[in-house]
Amino acid sequence: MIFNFFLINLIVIILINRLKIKAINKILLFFISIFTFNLHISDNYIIFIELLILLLCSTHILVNIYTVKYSSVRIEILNHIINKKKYDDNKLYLDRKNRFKKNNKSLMKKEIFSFLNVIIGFFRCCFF
Amino acid sequence: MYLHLTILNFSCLFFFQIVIFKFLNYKKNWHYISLVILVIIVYVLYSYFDIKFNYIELLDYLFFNLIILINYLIFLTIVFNGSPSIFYLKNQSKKLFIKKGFVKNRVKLMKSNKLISRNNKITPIGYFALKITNFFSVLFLKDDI
Repeated sequence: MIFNFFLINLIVIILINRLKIKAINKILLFFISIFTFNLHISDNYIIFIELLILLLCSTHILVNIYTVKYSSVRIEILNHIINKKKYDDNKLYLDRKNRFKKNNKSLMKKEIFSFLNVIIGFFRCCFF
Repeated sequence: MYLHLTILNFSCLFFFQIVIFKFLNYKKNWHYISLVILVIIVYVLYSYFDIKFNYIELLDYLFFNLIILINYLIFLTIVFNGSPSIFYLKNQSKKLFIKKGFVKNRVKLMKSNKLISRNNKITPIGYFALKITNFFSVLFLKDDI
């Protein structure tokens, strides 16, 4: 059940990714369609929660695939080495500054990072 | 079916992580440590409660735990390595941002992970990382507009 549900998640996102729409809309479409499917197939609330956790995990992995491609510092460094350019903290600072401007239409919005900051604060408090 | 046991597994993992990372102040190889602790917990609790999953159920249960662990470790990367975006959100000072040295720190990590060589050239592992990143993005989630 769990493995099959995860495979369905992957197949659905591969199909949705073919659409010519923004990444944030793809994620929303994916989440709503799989959530509806989950409501339909779950026999009881335990299975529903298990599949919901799996859906959240799938969404988190997909968002990470996106952020690694479009925002990872390591990938930026590798791309700059290929293009024989230098990547430094100044460029990184300007990139992050642009990210939090109001006209930013990418998946990486200020609100998402503000929310993440709260959770990270809790974990840093526990582990550091 | 696996929910309660999985919640218990990860609660125990969180408890042992606090003990090791905070009280023993040992943070080296935190991802391997987390993986090993979870494997031990899953084995001990499964034996302790004398659960009798059939073959398919057992694989599903292990897969469920593995997926949650992967997500948890991806998330913990931000906690342990820090995120430039979150640093900027908390403090917009350019001077402090540059002083923090995110790029320098990542270059150091990339050298230890053999993504780039000592003289800043991309290694075959680095090329592979770039290709796999592109492949996954094109397959699963790319920005079209």
